[in-house]
Amino acid sequence: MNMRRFAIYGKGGIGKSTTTSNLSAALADMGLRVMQIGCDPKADSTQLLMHGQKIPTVLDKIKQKGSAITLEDVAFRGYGDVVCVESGGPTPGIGCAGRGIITAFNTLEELDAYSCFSPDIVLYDVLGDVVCGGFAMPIRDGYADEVMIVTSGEKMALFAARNIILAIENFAKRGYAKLAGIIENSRNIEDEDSIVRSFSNEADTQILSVIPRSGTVQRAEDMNMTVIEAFPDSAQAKCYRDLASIVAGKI
Amino acid sequence: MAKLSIYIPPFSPDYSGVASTFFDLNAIAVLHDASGCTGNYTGYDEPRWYGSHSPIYCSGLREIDAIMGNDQKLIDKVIAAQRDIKADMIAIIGSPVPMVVGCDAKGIAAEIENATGVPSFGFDTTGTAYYDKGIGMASAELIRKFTISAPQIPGSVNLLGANAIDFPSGQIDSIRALLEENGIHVNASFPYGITLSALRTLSSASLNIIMSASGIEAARILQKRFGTPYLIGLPYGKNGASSFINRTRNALNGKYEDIISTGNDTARILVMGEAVASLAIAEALRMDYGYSKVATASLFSRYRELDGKEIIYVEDEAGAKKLLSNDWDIIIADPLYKRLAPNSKSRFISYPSYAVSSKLHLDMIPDLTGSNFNEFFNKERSKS
Repeated sequence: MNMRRFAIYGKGGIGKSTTTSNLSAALADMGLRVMQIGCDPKADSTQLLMHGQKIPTVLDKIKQKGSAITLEDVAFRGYGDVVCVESGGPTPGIGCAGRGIITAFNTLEELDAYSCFSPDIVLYDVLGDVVCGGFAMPIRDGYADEVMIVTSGEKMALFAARNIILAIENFAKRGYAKLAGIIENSRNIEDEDSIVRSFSNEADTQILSVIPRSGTVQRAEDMNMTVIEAFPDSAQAKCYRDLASIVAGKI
Repeated sequence: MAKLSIYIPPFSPDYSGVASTFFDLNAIAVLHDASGCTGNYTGYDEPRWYGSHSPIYCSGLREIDAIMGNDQKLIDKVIAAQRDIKADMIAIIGSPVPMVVGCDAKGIAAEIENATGVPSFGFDTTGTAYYDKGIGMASAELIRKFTISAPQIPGSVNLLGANAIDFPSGQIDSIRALLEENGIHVNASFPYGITLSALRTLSSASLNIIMSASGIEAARILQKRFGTPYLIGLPYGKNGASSFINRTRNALNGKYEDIISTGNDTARILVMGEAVASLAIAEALRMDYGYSKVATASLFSRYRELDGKEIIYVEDEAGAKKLLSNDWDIIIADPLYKRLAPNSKSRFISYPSYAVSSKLHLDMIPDLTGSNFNEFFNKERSKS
């Protein structure tokens, strides 16, 4: 089976990590080998898969161990044997987070991470908007094949989604990742489905899934788990499983 | 501050290695920088630069272009240059500033290739790796793009890692001549003297000879793609050269003998420089002078192909100082290192490395091919 890689972008706080972790868990339940790489200096992408355990980041380990870094230092098995990695980032207020992602990605290549784990699916959970070259790294040559954008119907979320689509279009000349579609993470604003649908039509893409707003997500997070693990029979879990089926169908 | 260098200058970096690899090809090589790195390459890292016609371009990166990610400006300039120059290929070579801001050199090259139809390469060189890595990455990309499966020429060799930084003054021609005199046909030397047609038929050689560590990456890819075996070494010293020729002949007949590492324990002589050259000098000292234990040290990058050869990797100036302070009878190293051991009682034989001291000692860089090594060593050893 060929490895397929997806980058998941969206405005900060829109629910990318929650969606990505639930997607990883649902894909793992389907028997697929999954790797989730958090690309956010906050390094909290994989927390739900790791039951609240904060794992050391690639950049922290580079800082500590330099070239003696190993794959075991930075890759950990979470729920469903999902391989969890956090790229990490600099101390808030200093350093360069974008360059950090590039360095973390280069280190994973040097450590031969993809060959060692041979995942069927890699999910890059990327901070916010495409803010600079570093944050575009997951959609560059050799990384994600497709991009999924998490958005609600709120203006700022759609604005960020628009910027991400512009970056993808800009990179089309370079033959990079294509836009797979939009994941609507509902915020229960008025007329939300219709707003996101018309945005999607304008952007000439599709809505892959509509995830309803649900207290189940919050309850699962309070348990440091994904919905897939905590409430596997819930309607919310079914939404994530449906999205997983669509993603798995792309392999 | 662990890597602080007070006496030793920065070595030739990866971007210079890439640029040097394109030197003999009809290429537009663009260093994406604010002109300082281009100056390093032309002024200090490329011994053939002055008096040559091989162009290198500087993108003239400015602060606002770096901040705004104005790749289009560079792309437009290169496309315009290509209209006039009609090069066979284009290389976009990264430098520290664009790499820090996450410039996508490969992506820029892809756009240029789409627009011009000319094979284009992007290199994420940062200036923090050494020239050998740059030569390795450029060689590998050139082979991937151009080298085809060509009929093999029995008894022929390629000289890989034959580059102008490690061999700035005619050594490659001497080695080539020595091999030819001994009936071994040299298919190509790469990157020094390479042409596009020779690049295409690198696969014709029956054996690759790795003359410096910078040739390891090319040897890897030629072995992987065409199954060509490789041999590591240089024909230094009268007997050392005979041994090298024998090893080459044997390898051409399918019998591979690795270069012998003489071991560091109880060694009284230290050879410090480029890894393969250090090993070859140690071999010459053993074969021609009977020194059975010679310590070899490399100043540059590590390669798994050299594992097990007891090479000491000198990571920084402090490490070099510590190593040089040992009680050696003879130290063979770039003259700049003499300053790190001012009180040493060891005999210091100056063996300049262009990647270390550049033009400063260019006229002292010896051609050690065959018995030249013996002349060099005898003369240096007899100095009071």
